[in-house]
Amino acid sequence: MALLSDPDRAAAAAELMQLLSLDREPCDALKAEIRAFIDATDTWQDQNAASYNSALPVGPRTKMTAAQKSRGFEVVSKKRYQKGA
Amino acid sequence: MASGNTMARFSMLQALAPASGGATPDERNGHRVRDFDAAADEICFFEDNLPSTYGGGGVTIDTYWMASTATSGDIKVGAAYEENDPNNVDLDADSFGTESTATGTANATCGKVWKVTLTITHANMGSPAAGDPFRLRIKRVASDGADTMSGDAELHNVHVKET
Repeated sequence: MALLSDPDRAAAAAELMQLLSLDREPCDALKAEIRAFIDATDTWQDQNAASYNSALPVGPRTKMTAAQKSRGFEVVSKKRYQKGA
Repeated sequence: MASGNTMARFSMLQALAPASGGATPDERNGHRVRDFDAAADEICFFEDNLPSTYGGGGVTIDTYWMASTATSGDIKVGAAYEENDPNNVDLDADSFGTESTATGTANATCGKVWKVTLTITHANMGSPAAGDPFRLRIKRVASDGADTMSGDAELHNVHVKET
């Protein structure tokens, strides 16, 4: 998958700010810094997608679609966040 | 009316939202607030009558804000006045005067209120007469580069004084 488009990155930044606002979770980052975080995270995921895929066991690696693996990545990230990782 | 005298005070119980692009009602430790998004301009309205003692000096509007999450950064606030004088203005269309803007900086504690003050001249109010109905629009100009604060800005109350 290619990098997210600029509008998609903007939407992701907006979504992250909304989630933080809903939880009233203090965050010192400015809007531009939130956007830079999104950009860097998208770039890192794009650059490391092959490496991540190689780290998966052969079963899920071959049986899950790329979209399903992204969704699984999100689930694990969210759980780690909830557990305070 | 003397400069600095109160003309209107609005809590968020009195805030009105447009059909779209409106700040959303919320509650914070029992305080009613309106949440203004960080990624798109949002507005809310307030309605009242100008006091019978209004002297034509224009208005100074103190807006009181909290940050949902931020502990730094600026918000850009806009205020515009719509004169709703009887037998003259068609309320089926907006007729706000020129918007005034100002920026304010978030408190280092996101639950602490800070003030952003704006002024609107008598002319930009539409040169209203004392007693005339009016509508006030408050906006967070999140799309402006000067608005750097991340997360929602929560409007707590509004104090309108004669300038």
